[in-house]
Amino acid sequence: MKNEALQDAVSMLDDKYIEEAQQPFPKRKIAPTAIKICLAAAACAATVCAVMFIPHGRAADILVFGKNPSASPVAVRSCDNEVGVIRAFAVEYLDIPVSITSSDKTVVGISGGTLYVEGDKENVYNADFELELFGNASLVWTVPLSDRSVEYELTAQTGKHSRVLTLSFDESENKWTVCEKSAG
Amino acid sequence: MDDEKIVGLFWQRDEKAISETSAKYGKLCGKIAYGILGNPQDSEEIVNSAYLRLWESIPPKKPNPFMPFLAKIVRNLALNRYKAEHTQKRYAGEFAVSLDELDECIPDKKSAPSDAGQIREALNAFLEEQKPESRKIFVLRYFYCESIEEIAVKTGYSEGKIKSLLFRLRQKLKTHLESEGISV
Repeated sequence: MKNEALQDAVSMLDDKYIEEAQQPFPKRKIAPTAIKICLAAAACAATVCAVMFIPHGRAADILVFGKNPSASPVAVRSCDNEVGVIRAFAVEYLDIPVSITSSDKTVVGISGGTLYVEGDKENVYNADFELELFGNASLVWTVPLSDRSVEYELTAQTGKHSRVLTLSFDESENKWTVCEKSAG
Repeated sequence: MDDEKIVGLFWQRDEKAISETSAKYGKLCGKIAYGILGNPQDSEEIVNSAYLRLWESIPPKKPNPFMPFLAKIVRNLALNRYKAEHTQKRYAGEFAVSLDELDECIPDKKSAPSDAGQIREALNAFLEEQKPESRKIFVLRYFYCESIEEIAVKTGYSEGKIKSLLFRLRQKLKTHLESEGISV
């Protein structure tokens, strides 16, 4: 057989190759299978942790009266010329335009006042309900400004990110202002 | 005991030469014979015959290196047994598989077969051109008749990688033999 002629030639190989083949191969830096499995399991666990604990996406962008309240407090109502008697007996409601920009679902809640989507006064939400938004939205937050000691909050939750805006009366500036309380 | 001392024992006609050879190379000889014959009883017979052949040939010979000399004796005896008997019974050894693989190396050229010496020279020249690692793998497969699995364990590579490396080597060998004008 032809291949046996080759095998006969292999039988007559140079001694140095026959000796060389018996020398051990250099150790390759390969992790044993058990270590590979452990590494894979650790990677899976890390992925699960990341999915569970790391906030997804990014927080919604919020503008109040077209301004960013996280940069500096936004004055929404000045009381410089207010007469004391009016302040005492009149209940004034302020409509605060809140623009929310997000690519994910955002849940908006308020601690006081009412909330509705601009152009949709039929559906007005109060502090007992949360408004679910998908994508961008323009809202109107209506708040009574009768009691200067009261603070109101608007919370926007996007995934694990939370933004809280606080409406409060700034005695030193004599203004109602909205500022960012915290960002998650 | 080092090989030089073993050869010295043969020269002194000391029967301890056989036991020392068996202790140092018995396992290797058994593997070579088993790889070709695939039968433990036949392999044991071949190894014993190889020791007898050693006893008869040393002296006058003084092989240096000793191991390839012994390995070639075992291989040739096993091949002779294989050729004599493979028409009567089918061997399941690695040799039968490696023989089929070597079919791929046979040049397509139809001309008078080259003599064994020419094929041997061409094969040695081919191995000289290969990287040491590839060369060792080739010799382990086709001289020592080791299985793909055994070579994978020795090298630390996957069986798939060994198979593809051997495939490429066979293709290269075929091209080399053709370029050398070898016909089988």
